[in-house]
Amino acid sequence: MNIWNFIKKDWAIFFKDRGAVLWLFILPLIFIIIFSGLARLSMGDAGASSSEEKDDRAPIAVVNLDPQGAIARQFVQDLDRQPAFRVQLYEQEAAEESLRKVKIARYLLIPVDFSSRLAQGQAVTLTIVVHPDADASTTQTVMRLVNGVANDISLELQILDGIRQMGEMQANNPAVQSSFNAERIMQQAKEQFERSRLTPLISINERAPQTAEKEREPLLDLSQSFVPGFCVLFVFLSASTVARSLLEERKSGALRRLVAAPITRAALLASKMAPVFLLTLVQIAFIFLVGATLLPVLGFGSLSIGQSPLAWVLTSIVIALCSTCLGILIAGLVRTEGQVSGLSSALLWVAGFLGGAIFPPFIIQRMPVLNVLSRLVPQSYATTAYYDVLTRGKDLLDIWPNLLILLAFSALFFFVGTSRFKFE
Amino acid sequence: MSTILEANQLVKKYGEFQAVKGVSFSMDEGEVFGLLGPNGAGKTTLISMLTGVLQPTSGEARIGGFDITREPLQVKRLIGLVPQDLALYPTLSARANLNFFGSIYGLRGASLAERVDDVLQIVALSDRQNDAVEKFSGGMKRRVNIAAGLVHQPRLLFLDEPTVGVDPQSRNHIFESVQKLNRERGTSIVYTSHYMEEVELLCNRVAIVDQGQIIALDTIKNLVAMLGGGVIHVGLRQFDSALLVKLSQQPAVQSAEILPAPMESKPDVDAEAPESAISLIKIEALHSQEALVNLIQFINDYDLAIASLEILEPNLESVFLHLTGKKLRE
Ligand SMILES: Nc1ncnc2c1ncn2[C@@H]1O[C@H](COP(=O)(O)OP(=O)(O)OP(=O)(O)O)[C@@H](O)[C@H]1O
Ligand SMILES: [Mg+2]
Repeated sequence: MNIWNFIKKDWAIFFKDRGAVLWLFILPLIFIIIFSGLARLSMGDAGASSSEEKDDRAPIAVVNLDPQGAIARQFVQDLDRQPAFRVQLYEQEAAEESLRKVKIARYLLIPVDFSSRLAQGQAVTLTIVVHPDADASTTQTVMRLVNGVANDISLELQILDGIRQMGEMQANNPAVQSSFNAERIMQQAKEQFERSRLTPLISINERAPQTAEKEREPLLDLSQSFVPGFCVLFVFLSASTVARSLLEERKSGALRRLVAAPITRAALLASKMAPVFLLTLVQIAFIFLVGATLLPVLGFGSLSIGQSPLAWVLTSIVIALCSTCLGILIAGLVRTEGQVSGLSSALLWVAGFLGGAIFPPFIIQRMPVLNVLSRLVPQSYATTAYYDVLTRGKDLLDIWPNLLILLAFSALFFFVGTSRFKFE
Repeated sequence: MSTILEANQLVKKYGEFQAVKGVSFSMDEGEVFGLLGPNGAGKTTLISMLTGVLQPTSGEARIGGFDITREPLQVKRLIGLVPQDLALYPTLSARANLNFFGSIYGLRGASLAERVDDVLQIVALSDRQNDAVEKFSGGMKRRVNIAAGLVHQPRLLFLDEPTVGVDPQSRNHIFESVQKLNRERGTSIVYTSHYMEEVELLCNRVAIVDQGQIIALDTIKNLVAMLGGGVIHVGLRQFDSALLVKLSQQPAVQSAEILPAPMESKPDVDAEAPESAISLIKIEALHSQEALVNLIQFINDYDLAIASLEILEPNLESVFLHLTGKKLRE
């Protein structure tokens, strides 16, 4: 027997059922759009931080502790001249406060001795203070651009410095005057250029804000916040699709026919899982595709799959698997189809809420009771893994414990479900 | 003739309740074997065990030489099941249903298409094959239900009450299909029903099942012969055991016995007027016509009042009544 026959058959049944299709594809879409819209209304512009990448003149917060320094001023001007940025100057306290209240996602700190050290050809360090929940890819972009501007300035300084040195040498020793021709100057400039590449005068580091962990408010980053959660919510709702299709099969008597066919019961259950599992993967791909294409058109931030496509793919597969196994568990525990659409669907919504699929997990986890409860539902590990991959730029090495827990849930669900399910 | 099926002391318990109480029988290849019994007799339970849908509580059975519990996959390759309830995907077309049920037996491509064409023809539904099953009439659904058990050409086919709720036209189609399968393809068939006419028409041998047990198993001819010269049921007032002895000594009467009072007789009426109570007497006759004449004479002689009189026809219905004192269907 070939599992594809089961997949084709169940898909044929599924796609004849308008309601089921609506549930799987259209509803998540509506949810994402409505929630993103609501969130945007309630948070004003601050929430739209992920659109920084798109907007030509996205604001970048800068704290200049060296306001009198000429080089610092020039640096800020140069930064502001970048097509991607509009510099907004902050006092340091105000910047920290804004970061804490998630009005900004990150700020650039120019140290007090910036100009004076550079003037003497000494290295300085710029700091980007980043909210821990800020979108990692946006941070990367900001770092790159700041780095570019800093390199230009330090090159300029080093060349100027080189020429000044040559001028001094020339003044002290007129004998070598003849050797200061254009060629020599070019050569000098080139050497300086090389040197500045290898040992840049200005370096940048990234750090978290000084505020204590607890005071900080998590960053709500519209699409990046809602899409992964809703994806998990709806993927787990499809557990009831598995359960319903199994119970329907039993009720119609078709299951009895299948049990009388030369197929083991385990293979039979697996063949009932496979169509929904694959459909769930399609559903995930669809949600992300919409998140990446349609949301920006509607004026929300675009959705990326994070820094590690592999981590995203594996997380998606494990989540889909866990939800399908949950479907087998439900089929093994409930008696009627009515209970699947009633009680178990309600429980899936509650578990989704606890698991941070409706409000992001870091919000749920800040409430003591919910935090404990949330650890009991697989959705928590699913949403956390997604958020880590999608918005925190983490990869497989960081998230594998969550995936392992989800696999353990899957095995448990499948085992209990198959041993409890009555084929008659 | 080789044996295709052999059941030995099969028992199925649902909790404390024994639905099948030690059933044994065997069946030859090419036979159409009837299971006749009233509602709840245990026919479906028995078939479910034989087809691997239910585990027997105890006992064993072999199909095509394979043990049903130890070699289920080998057994399942030989058999086909047409469940009592419709077992189809209503939103899919007849053809899609048959394609799927054929494919789970490993059929594919051209050979699958050929077999599906073939069974559609057998159940006379070729012209409606692309319609969704849910749009079919009850009889047509039944026919698709049967076809779905045939696609893989099983050697042994279990038909569990295939004609329930079927119009006469579809019923005839089904009978023809069953006969054709058996005669032309040599398919062995277990046919379950509580319609004795069907069983009489189709089956070589019949097991009469009641309360989880086979109470008689033989060819229809031999079963009917159990009625001997015929059976007469007569209801008489003011009858007693002394009269019973005299009645059983009448010429052409082989035996006479008083049947237990039927459930519907009201006990309070009996208590008030015991003399008017009706006794139901079963008379097995050597020759029913002669025995009847003698019976009338006897009634006249003893001045008895007849409450009811029934001469059982020589058919399975009568055999069932004769064996159990119950009607096959109420
Ligand atoms: N799953 C079950 N749990 C408990 N009792 C059952 C179950 N299935 C059947 N029974 C009981 O077992 C007995 C035999 O049922 P079965 O369905 O085998 O009868 P049947 O001969 O097929 O009847 P019918 O002609 O109505 O189909 C009945 O008394 C029924 O109530
Ligand atoms: Mg039955």
